[in-house]
Amino acid sequence: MQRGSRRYTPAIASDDAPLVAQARSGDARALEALLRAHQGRLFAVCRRLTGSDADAADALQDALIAVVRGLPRFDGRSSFATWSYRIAVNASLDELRARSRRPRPEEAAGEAAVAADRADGVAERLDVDAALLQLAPDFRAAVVLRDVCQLDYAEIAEVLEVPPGTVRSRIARGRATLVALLAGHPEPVGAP
Amino acid sequence: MTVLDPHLDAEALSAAVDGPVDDCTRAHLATCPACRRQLRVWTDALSSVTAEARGDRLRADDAERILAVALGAAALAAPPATGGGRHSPATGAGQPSPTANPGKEAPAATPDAAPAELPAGPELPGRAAPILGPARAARRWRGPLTAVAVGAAAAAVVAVAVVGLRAGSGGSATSSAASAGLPSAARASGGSGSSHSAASSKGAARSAVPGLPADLGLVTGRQALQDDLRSALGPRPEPSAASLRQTSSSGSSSSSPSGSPSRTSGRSSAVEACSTVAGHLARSATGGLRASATLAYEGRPAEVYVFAVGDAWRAWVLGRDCATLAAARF
Repeated sequence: MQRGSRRYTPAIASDDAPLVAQARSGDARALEALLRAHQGRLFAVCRRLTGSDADAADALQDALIAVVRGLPRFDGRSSFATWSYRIAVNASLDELRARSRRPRPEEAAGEAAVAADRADGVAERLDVDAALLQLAPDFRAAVVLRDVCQLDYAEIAEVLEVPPGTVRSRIARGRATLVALLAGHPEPVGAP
Repeated sequence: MTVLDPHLDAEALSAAVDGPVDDCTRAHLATCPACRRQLRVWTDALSSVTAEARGDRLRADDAERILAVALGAAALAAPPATGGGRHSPATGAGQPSPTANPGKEAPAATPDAAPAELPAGPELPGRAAPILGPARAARRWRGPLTAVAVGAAAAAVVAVAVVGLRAGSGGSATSSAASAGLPSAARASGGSGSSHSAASSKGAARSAVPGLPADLGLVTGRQALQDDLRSALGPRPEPSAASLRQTSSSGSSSSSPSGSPSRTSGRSSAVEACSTVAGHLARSATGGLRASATLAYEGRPAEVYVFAVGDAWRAWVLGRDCATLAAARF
């Protein structure tokens, strides 16, 4: 019946507690292991929120520095994964704000060329990156955490520090816009 | 789904994409081909997002470098081992510190030891003295000292002019006084003659790549940074840069001891912060650190570290808290 539905697998593992405890107590090897274990998924968040590898790397670096500096104050009320996701999202949004303030002539030219190529295309379908970047940051973060990181709604609410109803609304509206962009429709698909 | 619009709305479609749906939605989907088609469009589009994101991979050299920076920050955040803090024995003296390459020998034994040995050591070819306390002090006092220098120069010009009128000599004194009063000279030197000479001597060894000054001065924006560095560094680095590294290594070894920051020397934590980070960067697997320089990036005191990554330059600007203020690849 639900031929369109997808099943999500739990994204946040809960077995970080020993490593986190060791890292908090000053065990440098545990800290390194912890960072290595989470570096990839944090990069995925940064990558899809910033839309470029270089900016994602910068955001990830800031996020990891914030993680190691904030670890002594991490009280364990949320999971380490949720907490680090929150830091990565904030770092990515900061990076986006910083990017908007600085000129990037070389990349702007490259993006213009890509845009021209797209305009010449018959289907005129935007790629995933371009479509995601057209979403408002709040919607983009919610969609990325759901469809890229595969967090559930409660986890996303915790990461974004908003009520679950707001998460549901942001994901729905963000997805509607995203699907419309990916499908080449001028209006969001299924939007009320 | 409303009275006016009988089809599923965005929230209902989104919920249907996520999994089990309520009876109302299920019943509607059973009888509405348009909504079933719409649901397929949503599922396909969002699956493409998920599938593309699975291919996201951080480049190995970036991953190591980012990890090295974070671990460098962690080493700074940790309390001194000598103070009998909350370090476990595993991180105490004599134990290897975390590095980006667990298999390699770690030069820094403790968080405290790391900053002290950063500037020296043949394992950092091309590494110049990382962050110099005197250089920072010179920048801090640049403004007041410049004002004093300009005032002194003006006074000297007047005095020499008076003496020259009386004795008919003093041209050389006039020129030296005038040059001392030049804003550019004051800017490079911090405003005093002794600082200028010290900064110049350190700068010569500080820059591993010929042409990169010790202090880039005020730089605003990533593009300006990139332009300044590109003009100073010249063409893209050669992939095999052994000769350059040897040259720069011999150049930096002479001044390294004097530029070695340590916790006991009374330098600021910001100095140690960036030194430690730079040390971790240089020890990382792909850290071909070539040069470093001080600058005021968008008005904030900072250090720029230039790496040769493949055939491109990669520059990182670290602020006082060793956070990245800017990064450039060119």
